[in-house]
Amino acid sequence: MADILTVAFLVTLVQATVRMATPLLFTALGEAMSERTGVLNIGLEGIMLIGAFTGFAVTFYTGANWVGTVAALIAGGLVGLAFAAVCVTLRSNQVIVGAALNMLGIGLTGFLYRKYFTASATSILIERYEAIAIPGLSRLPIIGPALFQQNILVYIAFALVPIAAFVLHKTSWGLEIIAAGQHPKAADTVGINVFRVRYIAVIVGGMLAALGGSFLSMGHSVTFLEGMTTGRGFISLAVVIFGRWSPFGVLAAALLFGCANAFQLRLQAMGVAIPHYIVLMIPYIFTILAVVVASKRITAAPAALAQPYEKV
Amino acid sequence: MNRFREFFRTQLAKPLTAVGLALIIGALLLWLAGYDVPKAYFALANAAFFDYHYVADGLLKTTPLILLGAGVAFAFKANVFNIGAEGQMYIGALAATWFATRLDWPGFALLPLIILAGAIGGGLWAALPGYLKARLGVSEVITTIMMNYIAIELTGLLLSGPLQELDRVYPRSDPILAGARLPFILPGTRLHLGFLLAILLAVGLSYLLLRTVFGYEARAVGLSPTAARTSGVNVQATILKTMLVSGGLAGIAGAVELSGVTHQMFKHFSAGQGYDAIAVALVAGNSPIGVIFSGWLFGVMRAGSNLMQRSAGVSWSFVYVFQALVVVFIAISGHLKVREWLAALKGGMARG
Amino acid sequence: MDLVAMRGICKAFPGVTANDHVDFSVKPGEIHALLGENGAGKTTLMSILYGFYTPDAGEIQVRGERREINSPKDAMALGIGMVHQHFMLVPQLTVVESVVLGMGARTGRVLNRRKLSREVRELGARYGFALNPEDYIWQLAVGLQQKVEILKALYRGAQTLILDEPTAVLTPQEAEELFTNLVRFKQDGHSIILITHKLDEVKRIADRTTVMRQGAVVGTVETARVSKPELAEMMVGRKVLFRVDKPPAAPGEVRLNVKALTVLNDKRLPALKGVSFELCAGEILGVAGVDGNGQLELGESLTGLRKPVSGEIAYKGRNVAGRAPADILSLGVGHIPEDRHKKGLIADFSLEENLMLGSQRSRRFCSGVALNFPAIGAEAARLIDDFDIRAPGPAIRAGNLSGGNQQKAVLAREMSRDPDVLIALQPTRGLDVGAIEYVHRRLIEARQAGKAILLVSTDLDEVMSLSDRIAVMYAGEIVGIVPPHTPREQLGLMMAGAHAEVVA
Repeated sequence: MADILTVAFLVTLVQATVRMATPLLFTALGEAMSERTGVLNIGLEGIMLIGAFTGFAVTFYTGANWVGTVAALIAGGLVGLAFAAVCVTLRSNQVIVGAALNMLGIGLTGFLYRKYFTASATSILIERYEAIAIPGLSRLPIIGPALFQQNILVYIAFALVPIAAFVLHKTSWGLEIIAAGQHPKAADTVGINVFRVRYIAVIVGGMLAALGGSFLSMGHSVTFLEGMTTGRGFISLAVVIFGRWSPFGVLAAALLFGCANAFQLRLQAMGVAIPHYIVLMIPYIFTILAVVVASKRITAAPAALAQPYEKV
Repeated sequence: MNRFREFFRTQLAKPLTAVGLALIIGALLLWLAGYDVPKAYFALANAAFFDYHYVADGLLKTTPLILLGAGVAFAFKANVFNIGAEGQMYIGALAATWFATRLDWPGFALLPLIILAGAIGGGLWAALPGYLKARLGVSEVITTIMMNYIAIELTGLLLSGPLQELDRVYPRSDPILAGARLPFILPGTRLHLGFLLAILLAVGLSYLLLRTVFGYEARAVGLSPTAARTSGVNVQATILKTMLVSGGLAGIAGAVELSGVTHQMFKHFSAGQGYDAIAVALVAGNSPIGVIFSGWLFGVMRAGSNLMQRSAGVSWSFVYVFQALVVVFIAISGHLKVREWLAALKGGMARG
Repeated sequence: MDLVAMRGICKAFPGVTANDHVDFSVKPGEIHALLGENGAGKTTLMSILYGFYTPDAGEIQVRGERREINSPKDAMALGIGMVHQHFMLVPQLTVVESVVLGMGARTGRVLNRRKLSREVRELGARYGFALNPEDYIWQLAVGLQQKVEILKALYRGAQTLILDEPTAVLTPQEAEELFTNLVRFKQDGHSIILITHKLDEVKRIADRTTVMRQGAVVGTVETARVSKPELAEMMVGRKVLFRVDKPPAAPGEVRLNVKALTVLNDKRLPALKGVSFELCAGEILGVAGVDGNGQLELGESLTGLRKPVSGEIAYKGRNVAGRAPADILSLGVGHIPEDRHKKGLIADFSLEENLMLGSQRSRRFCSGVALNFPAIGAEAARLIDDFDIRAPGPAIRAGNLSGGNQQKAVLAREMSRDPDVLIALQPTRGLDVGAIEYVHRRLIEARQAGKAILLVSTDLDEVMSLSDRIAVMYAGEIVGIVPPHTPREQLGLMMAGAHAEVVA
């Protein structure tokens, strides 16, 4: 156990933390925005799978990662649009439709993957996003290799945090987002189109969840596996709660969850004498503990969360 | 006749429309993917109604779906969204395995014990999220899902530990003993007594929901926890009890699958029936009796998907797509105001 | 020329005709009262003018030109502003954020907070509103929140200001201040539409009055030329007694004894700070006060819905502080909650199922674990009859009943358990005059039958006419318990925090 404290372990742990946090960060940032406007989308797991598959498949056929990423964004946006149409315009139960979205994600990606990619017995690989070292910063001890030698998606994810915070707290759009989620009728009475605000947020949320999913198949690993999100969509919901619906809170929570996951991976890699089944449980147990801790505080949840708005 | 029409309008129109639309969109999808749609759907129909063995297989696959769906539906009625049926089923099966591989008792004594063990296992596994929701207001959506993943890892752990086969080669249990096997009820098929048990329990659950104090309180809590609490209903206890019942049924499903179908416990014991249960419950409008029929619908889909794969090459993942579509259409249909739209349209034309 | 004119407005909701060929007009620089009972269609009419509803028929003219108003945005562009009865404010936003919300086109997308703050402060100062633009809405008392709402409308350049029941949340003195402000707006050339059901307000301030009843206009009059009883008769359609007749009280033993009760609100701030009082058999103790001064938390802690931090709640000598609602109700306590939609009834249950709510475990309705449906049905039939609940049958969905019948159902259910103490919270809120009179009569009857009744109401007239003693609440304290004939002005000062001794 002594080697847990070595520098090499720390570097790999921090590095893995950042990489494990990235898909959660994308997904949870988008979901936080969506929930801020009052729409709860528990279908993140399904959207992440769709994003992972789309990014992988398009990259495989075009040979260009960026095309795969754009395709994933479009797919996520379309799913978000459909979700908004069903849940915002038609006011269906958001939890039920979200659950259906998860089934759809598993079913559709499995269906298409088997149709187009199981001809060969070996798994099909694509080019991964190359790591980009930030000049200067990447030479810093420990945090240099851990934080500044990552691929472009990681940098984008972290850059989105201050952008989201700026939009939410410094612009009139931010006020509209908050009003739509806290008191949609009040927003309506001052001429804000609550439906439009919610549509935009849900579509952006879908795009970011798909991007988070595509990170798994294009940045973290280089192939698609059925069900490869292994609950990250649901963990992202917990990240939003634990991050109290604020962009920087989500960042902190995503890093915390990423760390729990990275720790689990490092333990496995080092072959520590704990049954790996227990090690594999760590992120899930951690998630339950996190939502329990979050429940002890006064809730920061938007007042109109998961409530369809009806303009009479 | 009028009563039938009323029943059709209020109870059947919605799920039938949803299933019909899902079949249409599913056909479109298959066609786009280049499959032979008539062949695939003919295989489904054949499996559902005509082929003796596939019909029996459909009923076999219906069995756990009735139990799981009834549990999820009951929780829904109390406004508890139990997505944890999958994990509760695993734990129920694990608890049943413990007795089924150890006690060489005759069936009439061992089978009830196994079922009871399954119920207790599943119920207790559901009790934790139930407790967290009731006492701390923690969303059961997240906790029950997490408990599913934990249950599967726990299964792996136990199957490479105390429950592992004596040979200790694979992470799986020994085959269960003879007395632990549910008897077959249809000659030449694997349909077992658990099917009748499932129907019996669904009927019993309907009684519990509609005719007892607990059922009344659960429905009150589901419709308005605030009003129920104001009038003295113990909301926390009701939620906890609801989760015990819901998880207990899922646990029984696990025990029944073990002793009727797999006869052995292994890590990927369930093919995701715990998730199917959500669709089963919703299509049934959360009626325990309705679950018998919607369970059959999805059981047939599962059985038929095998035939569909064999004859038309369509992978069984398609079943999930179909389920998702059905659920979405059910969710939408509650809010479509077709009549009002038509009326508004007429009014608009009259004015314009 | 009329500033705003509405002609032949019709609006129907499923099962209700809210507006039936309504004509209504406002002149420049007048205060025009829109008078009517709850449910007369006043708010619907004004929501149409504000673009919140689209009328089924009829037209709107602004300054003589026909206009389509399809959204609040259209209304604001035409200089129409509205202050809703339930404020349309987001608690998590600051004053300045609330004022500029939805005005991105004018303020710019990136907010210049310093500039906007200054603008809002200056606008407020012009009308003598002591508002700090950086305060959060949730930190403000209701009276100040109303000023924010008025600022919102003025900031958008409203010429016509609609106020929906603005005095419901104010002390009499605050209402007086509001009226002074309204007169000032009028002198500035604004037109004011005052939605109200209070005759005194109409007589006090309105130049003209339009009276509505059951969705239709009864008439428009110069306020100075009609008397209060005439207005009342126009409003209700028959002569109205302004007094509740009740025999003198004969208080008996103490049934409820509250000592030093301290309770926190949802934000975990003190909502009740050491409240003490006694309630006796055969009396009605009224609790007066402006909404939000701890009445909600008082009602919730007395019925077990909220755990007190400290203090004692003793029913018939037994301390039940912190006990569950079921324990308290079983001691012979009836509870009419302040919100019949959320707390009183289960809208999706049938009337019959609602009438047994809370008694489902009693011997009357169940044997063992199974419900006794014949007994439940018989009791429902008896209550529907006894309490004159107008319903097509016991199987009707409770949510489909009218407000008055819903409240009768709650009353019937609570009285059916023959309670010794009745906690009645806002028992007539939102009801029409007929239902109000019915509830009042039942409460007096219960008092005559020796029950101890705690009446919490923000309607000062109701408290004054029903109570045998009046406790006035302010900021989580009872500032004094006074006799019912205490002058209104004195009660008003107490509602603003002045202690009884000081006032007297």
